[in-house]
Amino acid sequence: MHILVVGGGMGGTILANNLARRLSGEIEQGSAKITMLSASDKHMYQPGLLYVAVGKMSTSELYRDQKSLLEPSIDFKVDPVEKFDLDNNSVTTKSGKKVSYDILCIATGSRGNAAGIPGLAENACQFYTESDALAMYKKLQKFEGGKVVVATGVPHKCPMSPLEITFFLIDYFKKRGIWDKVDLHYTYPIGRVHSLEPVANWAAPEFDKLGVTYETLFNMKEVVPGKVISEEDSSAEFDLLVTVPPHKGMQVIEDNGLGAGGFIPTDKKKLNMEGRENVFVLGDTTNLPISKAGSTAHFEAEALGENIAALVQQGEPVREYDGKVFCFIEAGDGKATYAMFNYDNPPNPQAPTSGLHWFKTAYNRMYWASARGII
Amino acid sequence: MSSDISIQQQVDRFMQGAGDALTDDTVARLGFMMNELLIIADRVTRNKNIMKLLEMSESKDFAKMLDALSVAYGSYKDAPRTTGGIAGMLKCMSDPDVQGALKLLGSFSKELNK
Amino acid sequence: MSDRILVDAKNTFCPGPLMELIANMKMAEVGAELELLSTDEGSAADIPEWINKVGHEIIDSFKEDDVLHIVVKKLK
Repeated sequence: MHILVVGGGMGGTILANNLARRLSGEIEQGSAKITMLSASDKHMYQPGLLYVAVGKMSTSELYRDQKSLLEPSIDFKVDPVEKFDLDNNSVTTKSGKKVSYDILCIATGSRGNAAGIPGLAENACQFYTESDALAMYKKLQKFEGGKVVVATGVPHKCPMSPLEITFFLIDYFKKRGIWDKVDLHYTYPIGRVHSLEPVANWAAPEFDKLGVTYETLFNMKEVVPGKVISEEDSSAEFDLLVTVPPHKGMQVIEDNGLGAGGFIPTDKKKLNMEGRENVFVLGDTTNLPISKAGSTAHFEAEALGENIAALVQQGEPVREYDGKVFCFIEAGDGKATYAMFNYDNPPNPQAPTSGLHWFKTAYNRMYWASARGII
Repeated sequence: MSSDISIQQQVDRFMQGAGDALTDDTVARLGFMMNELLIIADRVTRNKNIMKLLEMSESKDFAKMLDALSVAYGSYKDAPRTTGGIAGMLKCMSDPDVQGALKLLGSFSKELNK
Repeated sequence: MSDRILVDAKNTFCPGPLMELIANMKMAEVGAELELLSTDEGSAADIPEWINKVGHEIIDSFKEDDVLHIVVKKLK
């Protein structure tokens, strides 16, 4: 039984390690094999970019060698997939190798698509890649005061980032002693300041207390120097624009016609690709109407790991993904809270505490143990 | 300051003190250490060879072997340099302890080749 | 009639029905019709509010077995 995992990010890594542990006996005997194909030999802790953008983390802390995170029994190759031939259960890689599989797991993730908003890349800050996060920090260091606007594209990964970057910016300006020279204006695509209603109900009064103005139903259409214009015919002038760009799935998914926008139609509980019993999808790559978050990929990987192992060992799946998501929310001022929910239970976040901020701070360093499948 | 406080209050004060003393950097370093410890513990406990080594180390023979290695190295370090040549080799080979050592090596090789 | 794009956002909290609709509208061609399914009570008000603000069209809106169906047409 050959299980092929495409994508070495959070979801793919946790899934591959989970499977390698569960199927260690079969792998040793030679009746099962796990291969991972990835575009990079490095694994990046993406949530760390938010901290890099405001100078709270260094880029060296973001990376580990992918091989060091994987169970030794996993055959790992830096050779990304270019063609998917699902009808014939095979993929073709960049180096031209054809790899056949019995079970395919696609976890290629998503990426910021600044090109989707004319003028965004040239006129705004972003923090979804290392170079963008560093560039944003450099720009912040040179900023001496003025109008700062935060704007968010749809869809995007890390649902808490628009709020978190706002609270981190406030901390940053206060630390630099220029908060009194900053006029911070927050915009958001839907009719409240966050997609999660309890979170929005907590955040809006916090903004009021801090003197942060906000405009809802604001979807970026175009950015020109000094002004961001919305689809709703509104605009906001800025001296500094900080954005969460709209996202797309990976190019290879679009090129192979696997899903519009690079997001693959996926069964919400079984996590198989619609119409394909032996192809599974997890993480940002799915088209599921749930948060594109690291924790989503993590919990999906755990459910899938158990299920695929059961398929191999017993011929039947044993579990369904229940939609679980757990997102920390850094609220600035050394405090954090979290939102936890699944398909059936809405979130009920509590007031931020320093204990939870420390939990997140510790987790930022303990992520690697979870990538290895230990926690 | 009264020492007449409840257990709960003691716990609360401890947490307060710990919280006041902690900084982001301390927590980050502790988090890093926990991460590395978890990874090491995971690797050690699932590594059959290391677990076997641990098991073997509990036997008296293993302890004797380590002691013997240590003493042998000590006497080797302090011993005068051998003269070399065929005469030197013959003298060495006639030593019953040396013959014993070759026998030990022979058993080791036999086991390896099994 | 061209295929209607179904956006099943029943029982979703995050990103939620309106954001799912916005994301799917972006990927659709001008003239496309999308049918959004939602069990969120606020959707009945906030989706028409957004559609009208941006300038698209609501073709139909009905409730069936506690599920709100809103059919919209992308005009631009």
